[in-house]
Amino acid sequence: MSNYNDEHGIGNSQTATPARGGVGHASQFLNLVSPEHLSRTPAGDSESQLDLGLENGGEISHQIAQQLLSAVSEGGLEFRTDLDDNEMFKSPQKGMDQAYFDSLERINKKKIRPGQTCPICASEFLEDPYPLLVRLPCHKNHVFDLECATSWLKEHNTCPICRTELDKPKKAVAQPDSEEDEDMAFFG
Amino acid sequence: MSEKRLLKELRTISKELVQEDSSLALNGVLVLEPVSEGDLFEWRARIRGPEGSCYANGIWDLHITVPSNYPTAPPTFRFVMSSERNARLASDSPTATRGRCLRMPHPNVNFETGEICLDILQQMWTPAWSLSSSVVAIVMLLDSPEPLSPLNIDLANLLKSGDQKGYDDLVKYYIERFTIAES
Repeated sequence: MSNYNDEHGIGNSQTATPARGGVGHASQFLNLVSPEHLSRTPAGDSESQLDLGLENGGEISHQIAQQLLSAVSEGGLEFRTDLDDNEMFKSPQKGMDQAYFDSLERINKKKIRPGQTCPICASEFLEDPYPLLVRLPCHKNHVFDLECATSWLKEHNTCPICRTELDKPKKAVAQPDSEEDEDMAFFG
Repeated sequence: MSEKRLLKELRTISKELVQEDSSLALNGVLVLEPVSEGDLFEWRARIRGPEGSCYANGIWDLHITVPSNYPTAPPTFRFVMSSERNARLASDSPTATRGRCLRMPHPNVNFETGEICLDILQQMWTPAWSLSSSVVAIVMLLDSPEPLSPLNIDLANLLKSGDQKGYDDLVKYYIERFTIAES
């Protein structure tokens, strides 16, 4: 069965290839630099690497090679090709996560005026005898049905009323959710 | 959720349209209703250009498509160019005596397709907007064009070069040229 990644041509095999390609280009470039240039500069002399003076042509290519080499070893190039292929062409992951929804302030229905409606579904809060309501941190009157707020905030990180950017945007999916841990610790 | 909210919007809009001092009426929204009974996801609107602007003499029709995940996603608005649809709308509308314009000469509207470039209908959309507030925003857009993101480059260039009179005259010419007479 085909999934989202297949349909959009962003399967694992395709995302992995450009990353390797980036490193490959760098090492090909390094091979072009003659070994004597590489051995002539003392290792760890970072200041001379930053100085791209034009007095010595060999020195320049050596310095570029060194910078490329360090970029590769630090994962810099790999990161950039990753970003080009994954981040830029996927929909931006700017929605909020479950931990954020859990952390939102709940509003007791006693605090709701008769006739007050949810700005998203336009239904009166008190139509539901047991409404699940949340308040966004931007303003005391920005109250929504939890369900309505969730459906919007899964894909966006702004208040539907005032567009205030809400904190804690969701990070890349693969990363461990340290924020959630913090929340749990905070709320005990 | 979409249908329930659209039904509520329809009820509010029907009440507002008959009140002369409602924000819809004051902002030149003459018609805002579903195209057919029983389908809340296709709407039509009729607007009048803002008083005091070069659009004041024009009347336009809009076609509105509401996505199934409304109001998380915005509705799509388009100025109607098809004369057939216009004729049908005109025949069952009390405002039919005044001619409607078949083109929208505006920097942020595609002259051929009627496509509208308005930030709140795209990246600035939030579910707190509604069909009626969106239509009002479109009327206001007529009087406050944004020449930096144009769909009509010629009109945008007139504004960018500061030729307000040339812009006003050209808009008025187009409105007269593309407004069809009705009996």
